Amino acid sequence: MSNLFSELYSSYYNAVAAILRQASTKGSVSAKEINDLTMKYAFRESIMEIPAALSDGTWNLLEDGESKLMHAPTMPLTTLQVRWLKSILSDPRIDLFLEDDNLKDLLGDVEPLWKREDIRVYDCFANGDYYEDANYRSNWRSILRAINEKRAVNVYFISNKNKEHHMYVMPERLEYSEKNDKFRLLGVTSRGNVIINVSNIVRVELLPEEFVITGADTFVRRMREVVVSIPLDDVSNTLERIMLNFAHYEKEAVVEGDKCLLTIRYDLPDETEVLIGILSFGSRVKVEAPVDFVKLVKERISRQIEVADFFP
Amino acid sequence: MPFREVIKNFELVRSRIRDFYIYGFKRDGSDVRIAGKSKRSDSDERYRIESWLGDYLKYHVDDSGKSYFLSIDSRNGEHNPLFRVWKTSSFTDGDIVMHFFLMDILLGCEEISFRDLVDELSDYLDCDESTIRKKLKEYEQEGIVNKTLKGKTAYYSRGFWELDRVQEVTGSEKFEDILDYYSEVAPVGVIGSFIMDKIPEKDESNFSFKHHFINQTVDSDVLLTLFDCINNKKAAVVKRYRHKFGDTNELELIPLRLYCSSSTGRQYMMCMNTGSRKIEPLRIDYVLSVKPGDICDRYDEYKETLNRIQNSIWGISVGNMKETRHVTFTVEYSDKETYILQRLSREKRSGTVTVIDDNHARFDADVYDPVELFPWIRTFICRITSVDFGDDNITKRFVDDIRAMEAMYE
Repeated sequence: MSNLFSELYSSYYNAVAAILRQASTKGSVSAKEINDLTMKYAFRESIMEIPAALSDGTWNLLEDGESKLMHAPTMPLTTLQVRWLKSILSDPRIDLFLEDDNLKDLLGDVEPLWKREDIRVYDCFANGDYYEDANYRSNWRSILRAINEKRAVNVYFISNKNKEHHMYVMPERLEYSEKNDKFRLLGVTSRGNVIINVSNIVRVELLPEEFVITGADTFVRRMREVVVSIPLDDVSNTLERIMLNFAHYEKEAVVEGDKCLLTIRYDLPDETEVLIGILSFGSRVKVEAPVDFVKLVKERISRQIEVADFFP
Repeated sequence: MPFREVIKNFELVRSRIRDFYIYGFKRDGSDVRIAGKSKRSDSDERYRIESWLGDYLKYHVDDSGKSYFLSIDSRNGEHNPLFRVWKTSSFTDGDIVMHFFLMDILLGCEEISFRDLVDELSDYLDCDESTIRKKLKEYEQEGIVNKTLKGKTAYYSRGFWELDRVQEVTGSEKFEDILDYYSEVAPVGVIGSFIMDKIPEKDESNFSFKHHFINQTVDSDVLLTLFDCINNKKAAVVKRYRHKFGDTNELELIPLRLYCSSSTGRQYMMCMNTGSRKIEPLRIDYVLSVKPGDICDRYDEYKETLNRIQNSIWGISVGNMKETRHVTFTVEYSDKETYILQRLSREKRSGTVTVIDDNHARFDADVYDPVELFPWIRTFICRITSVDFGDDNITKRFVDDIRAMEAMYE
């Protein structure tokens, strides 16, 4: 098995390759360009090492800013990289990207790192997108093309009230949720942000490059915070479980006496999801703030006591 | 010795990243330390992590000083910052110089004999033949150099899979989008990131991810070895941390299938423990080391056992693997809340949903470990009209906990 932690993949090698590439393409590379490329491709402290090693000849690859190589540096793919590519070809979503079998044919005899049957996502929702649908694929590809080309689209979609609408959208990103197994279009309109499930889209028209949506700004997220407390003497390891459960949110933990206070930042539209996520921990986790969030939890618990037939 | 931001041994940093920066705390027996409130000896690791991930490193100050933590919002549409941790391998001055000249010389010819290669390299760097031979062997194993023998003479050429060839066949933009997406969602996605690094000027991502867990990135090498065992139907010799006992143990397991949670990001390798003759979930982030063992003759039989019981496993627990318990609960919803019925249908992993009347539906399933359903059923709190876990004690635990929640907010 090849080595995953190898200098071949290191940021230092990538930064030096970028510097040598620049020197090959432009004839030479200046000290400022070396610093800029180091900052871009390596780490914060790399500026102390890479430029010095190149200029004092410790790494004898440049002379007066000119590359000593005959060619711009490139490296073939490693076996590990090719096997990884082969593995992802077994994913059903790959055909959203690929419109022919050229890559599949090219990697025909390569042994994958894993097979599709080797993996089971045991808690994703059952109503994921239908990737085999030709219209879905066509719409998905049009959106991705529009994002790549920074072009606006006219999107026809079915609303929650089951009515067809259309909207001029400047698409920013395709958002994927593994839990929902769904893609969503994130974009902006003249009225602000818009999020549309790709599965609800009927048709996408790519608009000409010069088409401008007046008033469309960038996608702005509306964020809120909730503070929960978890006892530190908790035997069921709730602290670790909640940290993992909310690992994908921006969060901050502070120890206060015998409990940990955890602040979670979330998108306002996801409030219900965060609320039921916290409820799923039962009495191990208490919402401390804000007041309106605490009220929501209290209401749900009170109503639960009322509706259940299992409380005396 | 001066501080260096590159490292030789990844294991040293793996637990450090996880304990202090991903979870934001470290549990040490009954003592819980929040990230950064660490001993002096930890400071080099913290400086390194600051250097690699400084943009994501935050801190707060209290009476006992500064506490650092890593805060990452995975919805921001940026590439997984923890990939950077895998790009910190140290090397010698000779390594990096030889790498670029070697690749350059091989790019300028179809193939070259070892003798000619040594002569050409000697124009640029001072190193002995054995070092060059060792490097060539290493590169051959990685697949970036090919060796062919003509008589007794070894000839070297570049590896077969040139990146521009793969890009050309796929289409450059498409290939970049594939890497952009799959480096985030596929197992061992850091490998996709390694490929992306070789494509100049690819910065912005066209994708963002919701419910996206990046913490398993640091366990990528463990996963690779376990996949290797599956591919070759081999046992895995595993040293793991046991949370329940607070110790470590070493054992031999037969890895069968990776179970991933899209709700928590946790990954478990479902294995056959040939000692206890039970299927056992191996939590990947608790694995301290793993190496392939012997080929397992009964591999297909064990895999079939897992396939057979799969529908009775709600999460990853198999209980005693002998008897299942019947779990049932009923929820009520108003005429305007029919989405609750949709939630039940799409979120159930096994079992059935029965509509009782316009405002009630029931869920039924037979599972090995009913306690695994607690978190999911609790998400319906405010509308659960009845519940039964097939065991009075377990049902009482669930009901008592709701009472405890009520008391907590009084």
